[in-house]
Amino acid sequence: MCASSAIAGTTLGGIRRIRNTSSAAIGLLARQRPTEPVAWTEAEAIRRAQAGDAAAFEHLFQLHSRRVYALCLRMVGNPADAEDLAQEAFLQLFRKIATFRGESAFSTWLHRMTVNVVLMRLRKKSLPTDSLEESLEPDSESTGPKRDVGAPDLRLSGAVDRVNLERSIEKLPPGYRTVFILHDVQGYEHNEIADIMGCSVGNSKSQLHKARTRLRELLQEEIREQARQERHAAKTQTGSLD
Amino acid sequence: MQCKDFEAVLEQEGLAPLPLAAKSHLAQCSACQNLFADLSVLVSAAQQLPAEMNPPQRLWVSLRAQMEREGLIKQPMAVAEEKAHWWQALTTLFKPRVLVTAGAALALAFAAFLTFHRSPMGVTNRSTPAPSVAQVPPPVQPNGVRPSSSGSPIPVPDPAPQAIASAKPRANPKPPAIQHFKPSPSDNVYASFPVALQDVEPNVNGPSLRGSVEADASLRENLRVINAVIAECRKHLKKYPNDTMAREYLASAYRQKAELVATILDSGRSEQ
Amino acid sequence: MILNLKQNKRTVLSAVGTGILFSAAATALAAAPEQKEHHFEVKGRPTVVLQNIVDGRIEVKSSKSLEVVVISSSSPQKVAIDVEQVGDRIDISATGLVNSTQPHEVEANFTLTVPEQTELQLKTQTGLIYVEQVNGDMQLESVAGDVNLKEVSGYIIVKTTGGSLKCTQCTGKLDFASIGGGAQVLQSSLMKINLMTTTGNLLYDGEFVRTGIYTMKSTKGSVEVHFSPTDSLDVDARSLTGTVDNQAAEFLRPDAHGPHHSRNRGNSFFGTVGQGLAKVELSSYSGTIRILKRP
Repeated sequence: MCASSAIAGTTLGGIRRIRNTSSAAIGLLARQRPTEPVAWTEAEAIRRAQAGDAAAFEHLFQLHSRRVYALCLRMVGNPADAEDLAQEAFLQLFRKIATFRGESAFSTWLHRMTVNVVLMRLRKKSLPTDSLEESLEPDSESTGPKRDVGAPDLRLSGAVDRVNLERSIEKLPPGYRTVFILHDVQGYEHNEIADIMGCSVGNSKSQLHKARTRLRELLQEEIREQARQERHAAKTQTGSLD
Repeated sequence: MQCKDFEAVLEQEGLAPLPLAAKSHLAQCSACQNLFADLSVLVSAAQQLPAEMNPPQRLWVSLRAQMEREGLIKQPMAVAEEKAHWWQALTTLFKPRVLVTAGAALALAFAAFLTFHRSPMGVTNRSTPAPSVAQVPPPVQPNGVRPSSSGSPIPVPDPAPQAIASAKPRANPKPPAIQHFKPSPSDNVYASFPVALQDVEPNVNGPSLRGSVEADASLRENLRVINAVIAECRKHLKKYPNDTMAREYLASAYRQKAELVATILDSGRSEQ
Repeated sequence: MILNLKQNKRTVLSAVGTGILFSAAATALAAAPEQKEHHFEVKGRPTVVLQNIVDGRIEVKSSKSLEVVVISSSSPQKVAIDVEQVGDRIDISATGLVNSTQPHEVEANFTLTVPEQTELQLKTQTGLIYVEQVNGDMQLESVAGDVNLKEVSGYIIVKTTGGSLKCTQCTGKLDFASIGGGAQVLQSSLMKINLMTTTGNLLYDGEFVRTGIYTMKSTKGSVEVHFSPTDSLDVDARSLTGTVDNQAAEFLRPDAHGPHHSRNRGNSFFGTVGQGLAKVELSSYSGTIRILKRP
């Protein structure tokens, strides 16, 4: 039985009202919909946010916070700092949102701010043993890929797992780490990374290759260290049984 | 092609697809084969890492609070666009939700503050207390009490809330101002925790205005449970104030309590 | 005359008796639940919103047709039911007309048949919420009632105060939050789960999708996961005052750098199976965390 045939509904209790209406006429129940503006496009949300609309800010936050937070967390390695950095990045974005004119993609603009915020923080915390330039923007000549002389390369196949990969990523210099995370983890293309980092496409490719080769060395060291510990543990156990 | 030329190709072109000259060098050079294979493995592993991660909920709460302080948030556009004639019809429906939402947001903001900061921020005057009310009634054993995981009843701390003058939700609702506090001489941040948050206890002892006896019993029982958890976490944190895991659990318990209180107030279960 | 009197008496008595019978029947009928059925044609992927402010059960099944069928059962003197359609959105609400002093005195039960691709927002006080073979985002809320899901997929959000969740053969993402309720997730292939409860127990015995994130947190209850040796997961398990019981030590190798990660008091365990592609985070304040291998 189709509800287009109206049922008289003025009895006490029972079905009080059944209506088929076009979407133009909105009934009381329909107005009780959740206020989240799921129908907004990003452009509409930006426009509303520029006017100070709280729901629009939240919408933009929900759209981008997972990527921003993931980037921050992988860059600094601990959740507390990652939260601070993500909050700072969004604050900077929302403070300047009135100046956004759409020259670049909004997400690129946001990621540029995030990378700047993260690298600024890392600059302040740079370790005293490393020179500032080497740790942040490795020079192409001084920190090119190294090859151990004499020691055979340890094959990574079957030995890379998430734990040692993430630990090795944390050990990369910040500049390499940023490009590697943006390209190989988050899937940005070189032209987008160039926009985010403020460098050329060629520079982005070069940094990525160096990051990968450096990461390979770090993983090999990691795996060797793990094997060494396991051998030591086995030896200790054998020794204790004697 | 030499190995360094092969590496230059990898640098410019990435891992795939390789040009013919690079492929023929690869077929002959075991070192480059190892390099190529290793880079392929680690790139493949990196691509499996999650590109997105959920930030904790407190991030938005904290961000929003900061934006409000800086005046970045203005009148929502959606409110201005709504038509007057049915906005008036929703007024009586909407008013209690303002208090409920404000109360829940207040609780969430303090839960976030609790998690983030070791010492409180500053001092301002205490203003209008948060909505709602009275003292907690003594715990009532409803039918079908869900036992705790240990099989024994969860210990109930003595509720000793400070009575707050009740604010009838439907008359002149005024969102409470955010309250700050200053540290006590013993540097125990919980000693002077805002009364409005820690003692928000809607009275659910009355008859249900509409709805379900069983649901009311469940709400009462769960309010008692969450209060017990909050008391336990606070006790633990007094002894180990730097325990971040306990702080997270306490913040989570406050969030759950805020939602539970919102459910109770929203459904009109609390006596007015 | 006496005979007339006797006849009259009999007539009066039978009339009174019949009257009593009729009024009793009328009262019973008035109190009896009334069943109503409504059909709504929809075009695309409909959204069905059901707010039940009284007790009652909600059952949802799917069909191949582009139609939403709502069957409600309630006593018209005690419960008012409103049903409204706006485009592809159907709103249903049940409110009590009288105060209830006994359990199930004022209740409305619903059976919905919806297209396979439907979004659901269901809310009830007590009574089971049961959903089977529906694909779509869903938000299910209950105060004291349980939620039972079978073969559903989508972004599933379940909130209860005291009710428990059982989720079988589900896919997509699952968020569960409760104070007194527990959760069992069985034979499911979910990309992301976030199960949180205060006193309930949590169990996950499903697939670990590569790059999936599985977070389970119970303040006082137990947290249990079952895995297979062919799974690939990275486990981070912490209990503040409870224990972490790894019953699959031969498969779940501990992280050599585990203690380095621990910044808190309590018991913790960090381990990896395979390449550790799925991330599993288990946490409890005072409950036991158990990690078992499937037989």
